Amino acid sequence: MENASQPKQAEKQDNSESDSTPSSEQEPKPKLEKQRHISYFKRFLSLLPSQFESEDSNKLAIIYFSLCGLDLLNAIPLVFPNKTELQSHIDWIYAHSITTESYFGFRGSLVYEHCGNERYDPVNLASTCFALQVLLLLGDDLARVNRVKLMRYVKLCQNEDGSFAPFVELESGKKLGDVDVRYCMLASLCRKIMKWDEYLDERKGHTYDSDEVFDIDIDGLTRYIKSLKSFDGGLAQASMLESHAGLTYCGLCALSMINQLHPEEWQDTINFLVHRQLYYNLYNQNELRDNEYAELEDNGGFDGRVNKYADTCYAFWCCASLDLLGGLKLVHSEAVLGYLLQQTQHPYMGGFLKTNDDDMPDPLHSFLGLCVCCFFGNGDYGCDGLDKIDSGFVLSKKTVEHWRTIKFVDQ
Amino acid sequence: MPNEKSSVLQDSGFDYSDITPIPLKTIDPNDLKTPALCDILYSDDYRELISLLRPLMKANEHSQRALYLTDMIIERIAGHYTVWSYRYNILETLSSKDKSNGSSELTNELAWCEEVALQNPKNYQIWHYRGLIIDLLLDRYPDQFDIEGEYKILKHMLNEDNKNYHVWSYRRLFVEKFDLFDKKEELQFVRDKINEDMRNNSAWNHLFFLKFGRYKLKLQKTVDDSVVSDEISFAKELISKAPTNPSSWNYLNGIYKILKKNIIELKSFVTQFTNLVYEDSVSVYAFELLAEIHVLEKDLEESKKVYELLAKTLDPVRVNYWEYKKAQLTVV
Repeated sequence: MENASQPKQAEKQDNSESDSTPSSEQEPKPKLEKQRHISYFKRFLSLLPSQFESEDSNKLAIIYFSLCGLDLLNAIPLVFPNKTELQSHIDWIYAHSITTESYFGFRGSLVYEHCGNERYDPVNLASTCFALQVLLLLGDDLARVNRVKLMRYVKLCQNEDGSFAPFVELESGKKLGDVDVRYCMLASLCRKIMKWDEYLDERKGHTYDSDEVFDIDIDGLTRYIKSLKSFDGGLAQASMLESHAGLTYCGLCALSMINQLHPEEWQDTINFLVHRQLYYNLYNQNELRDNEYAELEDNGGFDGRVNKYADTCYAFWCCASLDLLGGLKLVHSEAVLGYLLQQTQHPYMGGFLKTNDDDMPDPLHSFLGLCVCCFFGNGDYGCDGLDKIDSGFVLSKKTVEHWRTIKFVDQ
Repeated sequence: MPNEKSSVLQDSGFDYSDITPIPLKTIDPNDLKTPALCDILYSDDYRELISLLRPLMKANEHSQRALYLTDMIIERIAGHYTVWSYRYNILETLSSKDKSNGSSELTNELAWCEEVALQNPKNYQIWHYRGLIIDLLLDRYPDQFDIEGEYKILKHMLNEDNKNYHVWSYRRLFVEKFDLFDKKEELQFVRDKINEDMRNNSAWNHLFFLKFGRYKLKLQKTVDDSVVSDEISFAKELISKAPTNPSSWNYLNGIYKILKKNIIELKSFVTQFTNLVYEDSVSVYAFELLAEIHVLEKDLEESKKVYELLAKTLDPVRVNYWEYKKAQLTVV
């Protein structure tokens, strides 16, 4: 921190001389390095060195980030030209599936195999959601997914207060793991991908709450998410905790997936979100001097909490949240593209860094940085020719189209 | 594994030789035409540990050697989501009341948690797990729980990283669980944190929780007037020290919002920070609040002017937002 505050002061003076508009016309605009990003994502879909052992349980997430990144770059046919190869990847994802008498879903890694489904090899909500998204990205029709069993498990994970646990120890019925609004989002996404509203519509007149016709507690979930709103408009991990842009996205996404997101109720959240875009100029230059987290290079980027550094992923969480609320146009798009492409895009390796202080890009930040580029599709920044992104599914428009065509056959 | 040359467990002091390992599949180097997606080339150590963990979990063996193994696994892969519940289940057995050293198993476990947390401040599973162990301790050996010990570790962790979200979350749960809202040390701690860095938003948030949490959580019906006026004064004082700090403004706004107080009464305070002649005391947040005050005064023209100033001069990065706010005025 001490070191970081020194260059800040030097640059402060330059800034006070310059005009206060976020993007100046004369500078050449940085460009999205599409080819390098394709190579970057490709790397993670292949063999990874043993340093990635710690990410073993998050493997499906890494696949999702990388594959979806390629999809947004319209590069999946390029990277996987061979249909049989795609098929073998689909089979491999299904190798992570778990089917019990009542439940269906996915585990995070094959290391859990042979630990006993009843206790230590359970279906995991996060893994299930990522597996479904990856299957859609690979063009699968989800024919091997038993949606009634899957939704039974999702329902099983719901707590009394409407929130969700990541998994359940079947033998004891104990809901385990940290409770967090991320699981609300993952549960709602699973439900959406399973087209559960349509399923229930087709069964109107059936007795509700039977083994086959049931739903999660939508009202409870909605109430729970609303209870997370902090006094400054953002959502937090628990009621009255500090608001956080990533968790705000998770809550809004969950509500959007269950058709409970009404923008008029979230005006203070819009205010929280637009204020996450950082900008230091003549009128707040004292921050550059006194705030150890303020850096001129962060201009245009987004922080995730008040008085923190800009970070690539928060550009996505904020833009996507605003998009769900119909407010993407409130973002200064050139400023955020300028920040991402100049400060966190890795010029040689491809991918995006978490912050401009980091050395190595990672799949999550690389994917989310690219997603922001897709929101704006600005050709001046080399962001043309990308697919559009759906802020709820966090999938490309074409993959969402593919999902729409899927017909589930229920046994 | 008695015949293995260099077992990662050879110094463990435990014997695992009776366990039939369930190994992970190995990658066939001759068949790399279509490698699996994101295929990790596991190290030998990892393979060995997982191959032993699987049969132990399957048998749900609750023993010291199993406990040791979970430690080795967590060190390598904290994201292994069931190793935590396995470890908890083991502890539950080892600390049962009929065991002579049941309580020390749990206090040792809290020490272990501390060590893991210090080694890896971003390990968020550890705080959830620590909460579960404390619950178990309180249930079985309540007199063994040392609340001061909790303070010590929380203080240490927040000194290392004073905005660590997981640690503040844990602290929040801790306050609620033991009803520490009015505890002097707790208030002093958070005020010290703010005085140390008045831009520590996590600390501001915690102060808000201590002062208004019981009201918000419906544990009490009202907030004492003296608390409200003290907190408003505190926020104003720190705003005056650093008018461009959003944390103190949000705190002030938050009090007005949660108690549904009329912000018109803030006008004379706010206008101290809206005089453009004194650049050093100008605050965008003051202008934003002023625009809202004008709306309540039904002076939409003035409000419009403020939004225009924000959009064009003061805060151009949010030009679209200020335009949006301006456009909404006509609707009001």
